[in-house]
Amino acid sequence: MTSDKSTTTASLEETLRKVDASLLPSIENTVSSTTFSKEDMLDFLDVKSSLMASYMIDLTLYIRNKNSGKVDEKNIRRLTEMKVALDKMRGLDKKLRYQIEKLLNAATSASTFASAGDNFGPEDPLQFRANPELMEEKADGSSDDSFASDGDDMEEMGGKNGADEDDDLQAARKTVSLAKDKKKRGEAESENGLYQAPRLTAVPYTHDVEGRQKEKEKRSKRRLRATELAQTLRAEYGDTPEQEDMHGGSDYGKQRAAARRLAEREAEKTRAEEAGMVRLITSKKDKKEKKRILRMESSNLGAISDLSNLVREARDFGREDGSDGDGDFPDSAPVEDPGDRHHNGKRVRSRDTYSERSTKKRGKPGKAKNSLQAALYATGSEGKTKSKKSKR
Amino acid sequence: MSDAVIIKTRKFKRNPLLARKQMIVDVIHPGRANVSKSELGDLIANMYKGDAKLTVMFGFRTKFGGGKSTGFCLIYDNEESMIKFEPKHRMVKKGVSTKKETSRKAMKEAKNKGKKVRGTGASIAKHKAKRAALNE
Repeated sequence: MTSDKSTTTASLEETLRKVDASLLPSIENTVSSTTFSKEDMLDFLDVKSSLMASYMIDLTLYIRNKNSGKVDEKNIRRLTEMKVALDKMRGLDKKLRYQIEKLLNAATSASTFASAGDNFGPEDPLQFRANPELMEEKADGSSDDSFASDGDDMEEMGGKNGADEDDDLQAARKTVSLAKDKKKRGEAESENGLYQAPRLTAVPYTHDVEGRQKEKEKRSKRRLRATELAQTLRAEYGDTPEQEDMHGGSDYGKQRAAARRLAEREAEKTRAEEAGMVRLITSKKDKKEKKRILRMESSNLGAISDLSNLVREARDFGREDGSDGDGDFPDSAPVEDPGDRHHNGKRVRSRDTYSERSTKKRGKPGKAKNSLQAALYATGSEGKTKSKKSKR
Repeated sequence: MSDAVIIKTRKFKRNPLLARKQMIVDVIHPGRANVSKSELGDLIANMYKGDAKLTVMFGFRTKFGGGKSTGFCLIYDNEESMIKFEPKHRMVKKGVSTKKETSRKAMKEAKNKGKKVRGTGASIAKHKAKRAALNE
């Protein structure tokens, strides 16, 4: 028994010596190096640290009394009071944690950026940089929530302040969370038990309505250009060389691909039905889709020409690169050479003025009143304009 | 109608948990719209030496273009397992059981009647039976 006591006391003394050796110089260092002013400190943290210290003192007194058999009422009462206060502070600490962290981050960033001298704050281009600490596995404890606050946390939160504490804070965090190991690995948990998606990187905001409309327009234009009518006309009357893609045929293969995909899906479905000995129901959407593809397969009229937009096809004829010509009327006819100004002794007006002039005599309007007419008259290559050029 | 009907079965499996044999049936019936389930049931019962009353055919779909249909078939070992495991709508179609009254009004009346009895009413029924026996 006595040997046990001696060994315990020896080990106690040893630990005490070690603590003295490690802790005292660092405390003296911080106290001497940094100058604390009362305004810089958070009152809450100050109270917490002093409360902890006095609690420790009273606790040692209590233990000593216990050893010698004394009972000190005031000591016990002080202890209970401080314990209650510390418990209450735990809740407060939880609520204040975010603010304190923000302050610390501001302090550290201020110190680093003051030295860098670059732009900081909202203009900082690096503020959305990747944060690899957040991306690593949760075995080290998740970023904010790993300390479900216990009394253990208060030690590192309380005593120090200021920018130089940051590394210590991080190190303390890691050790505390490793020691606790409360959480299951790899699971993020919030304080009210709901799942919170991990925030890895910042993403720019792209909810532009205008952009979406432009995208739609571009898509429809592209689809029109791909209709078979437009393509065949272009191939026949244009002088660009023919293009073939890897499947040998141009865009005709698109609907075949759709039908193929549908057949694959159907095969998958029948396999599932036969495996489970049940019949699955095709939704209305699926039925519509099937009907549409069947129609496409059987008769190809829709792919040949998009009849809803004949005007645009006529206008876009000849424009393979997809430029839309700003949507206005096409270019006016070219200026003819002045030698043709006289014919049959009469002065002939130029071709475009003739076509533009509304001729009530002829009963046919020369001036384009809508986009269809504009497309028809101004292109001219189709031969629909009633110009005198042909007569010359 | 004079064309022969060819029946092929696929994925035959014996399911001892539900005391039945189950399979997928392919029917080739050129010239006919389709083959009725009862006729098919008789044919398959002959093929597998089961009872026509214990064969259930369901899920028959004719392929696009006609002439070919595919469906499922179950052949039970005995009547009680069939009654136990087969879903009620199929039993009703077969004619083994009849459909329960499910009109809204009738259900509400039954529910309101049940509200007067606390619990299942088993003890009350026992009591009534004892009383009746005593009075006789």
